[in-house]
This record gives sequence, C-alpha cells and structure tokens, in this order.
Amino acid sequence: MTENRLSPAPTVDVELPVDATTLAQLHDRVEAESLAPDEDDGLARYLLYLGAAYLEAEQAAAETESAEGAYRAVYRLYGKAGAASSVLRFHYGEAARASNGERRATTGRDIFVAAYGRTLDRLEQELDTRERRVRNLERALA
Amino acid sequence: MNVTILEADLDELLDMGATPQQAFARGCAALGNRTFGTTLRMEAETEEGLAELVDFFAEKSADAHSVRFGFTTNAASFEETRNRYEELGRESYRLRMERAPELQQRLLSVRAREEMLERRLAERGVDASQIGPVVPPEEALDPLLGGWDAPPLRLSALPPPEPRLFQRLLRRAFGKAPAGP
Repeated sequence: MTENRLSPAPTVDVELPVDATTLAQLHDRVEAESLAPDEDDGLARYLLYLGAAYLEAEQAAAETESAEGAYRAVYRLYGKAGAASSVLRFHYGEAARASNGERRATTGRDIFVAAYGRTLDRLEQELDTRERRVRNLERALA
Repeated sequence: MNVTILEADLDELLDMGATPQQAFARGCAALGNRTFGTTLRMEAETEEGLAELVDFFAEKSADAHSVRFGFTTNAASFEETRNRYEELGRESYRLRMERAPELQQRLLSVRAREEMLERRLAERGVDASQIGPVVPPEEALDPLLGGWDAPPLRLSALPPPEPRLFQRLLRRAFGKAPAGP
C-alpha cells in the first residue's frame, strides 16, 4: 500500500505589488473565469504560479528555432505539468481522506481511552479499599 | 500584499531568471485573456496552436503548483492527526492489555482473600460486616469489566458449500452430477 505522504516544506513570503483596488479589479476579471480561486491570498498565489508558467513556456519556445520546435517544447511541458497535477491531486485526495478518517477515529479512541481510564481508576480505588479491609480482617483474626 | 509560496517555487522562478513580481504581473495580464478547456482545438505547430497550448500549459502548471502548495502546507496537520491517532492507539493498548489485566487479577485475588477471611471470622462467631472500610455492593465493579471486554462472538456453522459452477452446469445439461474430485 502506498503511503500518501508529502513532507512539510519550507515556505517563504513574497511581496507582490497589489493594492486593494487592483485586487478588486482582479476579482472582477476572475468572475469571467471559473478556474481561479476566490479568496485574496489564493488568487494572488495562483496568479503568480500562472505567470511563472507563462514565463517558462515563453522561455522554452524562445529557445527553439522553429514554430514546430516551439510547439513540441511547450507540449512536453504541458505533458509534464498534466502528469504532475494528476499525481499530486490523487495523493493529496488520498492523504486528506485518510487524515479525515484518522481524525474521526481519533475522536472515538479519545472517548474510549478517557472512559476506560476512568473505569480503571475506579477499579484501583476499590482495590485500595478492599486491601485496607483485608488488613483489618487479618488483624481481627490474629 | 504578502503571499506565501514554497521556497522551492521561489527557487524555480529565480532559476528561470524571473522574480515573483514579474511572474505575478504576467499572470495578471493573462487573466481574462486566455483560452482554456479540455481539448486543444487549434491546429498544432501553428502560431494559434502554440498560443492555445501555452494557455493550456499555464493553467495546468498553476493547478499543479497550487495543489503542491496545499498538500505541502497541510502535511504537518496530516502528520499531527496521524501521530495523535497512533498515540491513542498505544494508550488504548496499554490500558487494555497491561493496566487492566493487572488490576483485574489483583482485585480477584483480594476479593477471594476477603471472602476467605470473612468465612474464617464467621466460624469464630465474629460478624465481619462490622469491619470496614466496606465497598458498597452497588459501587463494586465487575472485576472482569463486563461490557468492556465483550466475549468473542459465537458464529453459527457455515452452510454446506455450493457445488462448483462447472458441476452445476453439467448437472443442468446432463441431469446428474459427475463424480467429484
């Protein structure tokens, strides 16, 4: 069974030249598209990734000498990105599903452990009382 | 505005010779001016085809990077949930397999000794019920923790096995079952 895990990786904050007005305009333009995320942070990150991909594709195309070569170069990038997206989506989905299951099971285990622990504490108290009584009974018998 | 990305994303950008600000500006310029869908429609290896392919690639790449960001930043929370789940599993095992049996055993033997002493005192004419401290019967626990450790299920016997499909077909075709292996 494959483990759907990805290790936490370091992140970094980058300053983007976007004010509230620009952001509002971007949101208006996003409404025409269904692919971009809605919230500010997610939208800004998405646009950064989108722009980075355009720059990458344009750079790959510029490195070739013909239209056919450019097309093939970008097509290779497209295939790579498609495969990465599918694999990541699958594993992310599986990891999230497993984590949800574990979270639900954790609640159940939490309740069980607490209740069972309390019962054992009561058992220990009863044991203590009975041991004291046994000592008293032994004394009475002596 | 500050935006969090993976350090690996920044490295990829810098390796390309671009800055996050340039990438963001390019992304903004593309927004609302691109084609997207599930199938490439333009003729391949033409200028229009290339423009369409670049749009498709950019969307796919942005999607992959967004998913990677989400997956990576949620990895710590997934890990934490798993650790808590496993920790509770170990605690549950310790209670059931180590602490409970030891306490149960001790309680059973203390109760047996208590009863034996009560009997011996009764033989001497001493009323042991006056000797405390007493655990009220309604508060006494079942040493076997009835209800917690349910007895194993008793399963009814399985029905006799069905004849194999091949034998059933032969029977249907020839009216009698052939000799089995």
